[in-house]
Amino acid sequence: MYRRGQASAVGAVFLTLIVILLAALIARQIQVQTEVQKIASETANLRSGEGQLSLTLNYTYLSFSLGNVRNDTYSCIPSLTSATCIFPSSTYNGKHMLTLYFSAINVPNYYYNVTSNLYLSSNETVEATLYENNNETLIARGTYTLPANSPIVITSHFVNYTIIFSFSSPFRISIDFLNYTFQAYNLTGFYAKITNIGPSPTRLYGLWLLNSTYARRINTSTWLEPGASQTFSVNLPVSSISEIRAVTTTRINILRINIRPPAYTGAPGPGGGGGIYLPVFSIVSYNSSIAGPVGSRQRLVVTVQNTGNASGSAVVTVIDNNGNTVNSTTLSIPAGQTATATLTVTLPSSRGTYTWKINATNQATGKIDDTKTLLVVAKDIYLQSRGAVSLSSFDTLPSWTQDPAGSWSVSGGVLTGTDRSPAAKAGSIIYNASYIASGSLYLLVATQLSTTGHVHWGFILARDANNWVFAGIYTDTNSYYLEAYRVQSDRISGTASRSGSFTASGWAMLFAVYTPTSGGSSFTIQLYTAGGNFSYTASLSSSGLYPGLTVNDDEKKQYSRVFDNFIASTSDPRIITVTGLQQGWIVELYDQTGNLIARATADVSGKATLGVLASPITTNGKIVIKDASGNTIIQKTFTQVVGGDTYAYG
Amino acid sequence: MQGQAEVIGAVLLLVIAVALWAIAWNLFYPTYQQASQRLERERLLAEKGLREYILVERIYLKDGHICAWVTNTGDVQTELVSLYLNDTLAWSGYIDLKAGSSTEVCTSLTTKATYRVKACSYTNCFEVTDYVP
Repeated sequence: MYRRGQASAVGAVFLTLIVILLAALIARQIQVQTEVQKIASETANLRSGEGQLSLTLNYTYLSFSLGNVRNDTYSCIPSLTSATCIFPSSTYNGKHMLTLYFSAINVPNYYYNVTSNLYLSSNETVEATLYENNNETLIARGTYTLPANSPIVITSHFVNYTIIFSFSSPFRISIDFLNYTFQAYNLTGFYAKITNIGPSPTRLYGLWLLNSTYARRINTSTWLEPGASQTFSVNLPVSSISEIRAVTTTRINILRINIRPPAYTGAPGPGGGGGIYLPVFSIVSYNSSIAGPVGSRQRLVVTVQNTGNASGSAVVTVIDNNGNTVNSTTLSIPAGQTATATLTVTLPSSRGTYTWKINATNQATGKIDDTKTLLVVAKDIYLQSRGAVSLSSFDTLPSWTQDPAGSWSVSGGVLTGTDRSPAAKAGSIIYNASYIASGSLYLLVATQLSTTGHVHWGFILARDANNWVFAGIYTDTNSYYLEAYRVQSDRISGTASRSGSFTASGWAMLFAVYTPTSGGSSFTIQLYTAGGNFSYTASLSSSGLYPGLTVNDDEKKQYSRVFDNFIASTSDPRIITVTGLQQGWIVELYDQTGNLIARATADVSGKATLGVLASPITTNGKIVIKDASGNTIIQKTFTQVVGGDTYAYG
Repeated sequence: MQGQAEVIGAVLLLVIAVALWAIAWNLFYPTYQQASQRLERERLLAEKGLREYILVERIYLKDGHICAWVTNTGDVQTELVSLYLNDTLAWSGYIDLKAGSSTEVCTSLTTKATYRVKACSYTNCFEVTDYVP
């Protein structure tokens, strides 16, 4: 009974706890759902009515001008600060008449409409007729009666007009003030006003100004309440824009515009002209091609002639092969005159030949009056050919084939070979079996000279692990010799072909030219040391296949030799060639720490030959091309620059 | 003596009850905490999905390839992970987009045309129709 009570108590505790935690979870779940629903509702409400925008463009401005009044004998500019202009009548065929010509002094090049206000009075009640001057033709536009001694205002909408006054007796006209107000086209820019015409607040993120070749985004982050607006100032003529996009939270408002400026109006001189004129542009000279290093900035000179009958502005634009504007400038050119623009363009980042365009766009009409083709050559330094067929700087042990009896290891960036082969065997070898020599082969390796033991070391061309031909160095503990021999069945065959003895020390560059012949092969061996150079030529009755290295200790005392920077190449690894240069240009090769490795000047054929005997393999080598004055034209870093490489600039 | 035994019994009962609560708490509280954290994660994910918006403002040719200008017009930071042109995956990757910030994404497509452009985050995809001029 007591135990049942205990069990019930335990059960009650567990049950109570589960119920409490479950209740807490359910309460949290309900709270989360409520919060999410609230956010969903808020977001939906906010976004449902946003994004309805209207666009208003303002691309005109008011321009004011005084006017000039003249008759056949007298000219006057009436203004508020100057004296009144007084014109007396004359007698024509028994009538008293006065003809006055009115014109604006400063007329904008492009305007939509004009309002002229003429303040005048007469000492008699006279009749007046107003004529518009249209290409020297007078068109009657209105008649007026001027009451005696009572000033009136005559308003017209012509830049140039004539008023003929008449009366039965002599009279006098006093002109107090003549002014003009032009609604002019703004060539320098316009205002775009975006208004929220929707029922909800709208967030404006940006405004795109676009035409077929141009795009510009004006960034903003503005909340527009219903009815509110934001005005953007754009420093481009409105005629150059074909589309405006207003970016809101959930939509893009695409607003197409097609506004052309009014026709250019030739600014008339006082009292004359007023006809419609247009400029026309033609590209009369330009660079038909430009060339230079990739990514470099080049100058382009374009001369444009205005062959029209009015002055105007031409936008000279350079368009690349993708249709993007590279650069543009505006030229103001009087009729019949030429103007020259110098544009800086950046060449493509990849070498190649590209076709670009130069457009001359008439700002008055918005049309391209002339277009020319421009050939763009972007040049770069590139690896044209690599003669090296097998190489290693011995930073790591190359995965070449080794004689099982040999010992080859890499430490400190050099290869150490130790002859561990049994007595009477022909030494330890390592060779690259992935390349088969089929013709002449240049061999180059750095090695440290040592007279320890009776050791042969140098190049081999192996047929397999037991048969090869050797060309290299031999020491008898006193002197060095250059020598070559053949190995058959892991034994030296016959007598080694050996040079006279010499002495040297330190690191040396061992170089050999292997040439297969009908009866075997020949080696020309050269050793470059700090104390002098030595060479020897030997013929052997056998040839080899796979280039590599050997260490052969006659005494089998496991002597070692060290090597560095091995190259087997079909071209001379002692040099690097750079072509495509101009005579006198300088080519320099630097290692990754900025040390100059080699330097050469281009010959008459545009070729520079850099001697890299001492450093035939340069990791992260930088090739710098300079002009004859030492100015850097281009530079490029290559992962590995190897003796025998041919690079080209083009 | 009888009184002392009752006191000791009551104390023992209290100790047993507290011990039982402690055991029960250690058993069930981790489960409760996991469930609670899962709820919170789901809430955050749902909120991100509701508040985010990725808008493709325009598509255009650049260096011969079709590119898109994309802006995070939502209220929360999000990420752009893929872009589809006419339901074909044209770009995929990962670009963090803070609220209000924009990015340019270029695809390997080159043909000028009208496209249905779909920009996707991990949570949503947003579609517009635009043309490459």
